[in-house]
Amino acid sequence: MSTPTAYDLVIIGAGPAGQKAAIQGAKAGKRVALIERERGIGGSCVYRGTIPSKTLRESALHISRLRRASEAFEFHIKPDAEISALLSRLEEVVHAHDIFMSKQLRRNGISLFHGRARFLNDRTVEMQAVDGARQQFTAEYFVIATGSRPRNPPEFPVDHEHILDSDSLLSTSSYEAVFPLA
Amino acid sequence: MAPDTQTPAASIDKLEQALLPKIETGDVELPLLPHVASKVMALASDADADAAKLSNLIHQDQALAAHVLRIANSPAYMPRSSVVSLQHAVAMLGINLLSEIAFTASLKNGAFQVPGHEDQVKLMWRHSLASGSYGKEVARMRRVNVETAYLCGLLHGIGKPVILRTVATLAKTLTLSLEPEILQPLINGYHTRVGILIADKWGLPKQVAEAISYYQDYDHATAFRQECLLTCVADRLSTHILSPEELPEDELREHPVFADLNLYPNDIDQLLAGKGKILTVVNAMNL
Repeated sequence: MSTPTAYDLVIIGAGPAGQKAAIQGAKAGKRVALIERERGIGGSCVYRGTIPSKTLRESALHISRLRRASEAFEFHIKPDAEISALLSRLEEVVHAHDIFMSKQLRRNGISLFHGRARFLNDRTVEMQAVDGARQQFTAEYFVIATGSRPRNPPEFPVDHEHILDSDSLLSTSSYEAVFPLA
Repeated sequence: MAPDTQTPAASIDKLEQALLPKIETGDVELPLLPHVASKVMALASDADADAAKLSNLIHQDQALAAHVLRIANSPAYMPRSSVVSLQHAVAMLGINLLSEIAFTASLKNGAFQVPGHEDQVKLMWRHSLASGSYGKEVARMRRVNVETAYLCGLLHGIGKPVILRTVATLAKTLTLSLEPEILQPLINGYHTRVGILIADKWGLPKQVAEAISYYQDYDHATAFRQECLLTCVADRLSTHILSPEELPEDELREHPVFADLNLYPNDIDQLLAGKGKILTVVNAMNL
């Protein structure tokens, strides 16, 4: 185990709240570390919530307009092509957000780490990287901005197959499922 | 005529020279998407689909209906009471699961048949089943669509039996013996190209077509990278549980795909701990 790395501020979770806290900390002249367990930054807002649902909504409306036009101008849209197009567009938008936000963090001199964090004591956090390597961080202040996940009530076991939650619904292959979400 | 005794490398070279033009010109006999499988796929996107439609569809093929009933009664699905009819099976397992079973059984009968090479096809089939089942478990862990992950895993090696059949025919024509060390590099090297042709011919969903094309080379996927990563993980996990000597656990864990899919070491532990469930499904579907 390497010696702990010291920061003024360590933030756990790189969603909208974590990012803003990190940027404010950096602007105040603090040395900031931001730890995110997912590969991309942005949290549920970018990957599971706001951005995907709005992107799907806009794309679904666009396809719906195309469908109406197809009746008038006698061209055909394959049902499978529609859902693929929606999901493909979603990937592009999410990727663009990831690039934008990474640049913003780099510009502000924030150190971004990819791993799962846990507290060892009130001044030390240990992070496990995805390859299993461990690293410790010490700081005067910590911000826990880990957000939320869909609840999984025991009486309705969410298996992402027969019972979906708002996360798995976003990658559905069923066109009908996209509209209520959007 | 007795087969030529050549070095394996020379035989591979000869077969490759004969195989490559066939693939490039599309002169390969591709299987048809089995009738019931195609209908089941259509039913999945039909908002009016119901239990009666599904059981009527399966009843059109009596052999398939018998397979489906046997699978529905197997330990993999642990029915509380014996399933005696297809309608009963739908009630017990649900439309989605029964559609999946019917699609899978129909696929085996239609696309995984190479007379004279039953043992090799059986290995391919078990690998496909395990990959499909592992695909579902990985998708559940990543909280993404389970149904698509199953199809990607099940069909990622759909080109393999076609390459086997084509190479076997070529070997006979060229009077070459066909040992596993000759066959395997050809299957590994060319099954993806044939898989892409099949995906196009069958009109498979784009996610599945992309997973077939890029599961081994996911960094070059033009879309649906997550499905490609997921299929790569499922493929490697199933190789490990079915042939641990071919892919030992240490080597499996070192593959960068796990980190690329954001699977931490304890996630891999959890997936490996579920191998009993995967093998139960493989044995149930091992028609």
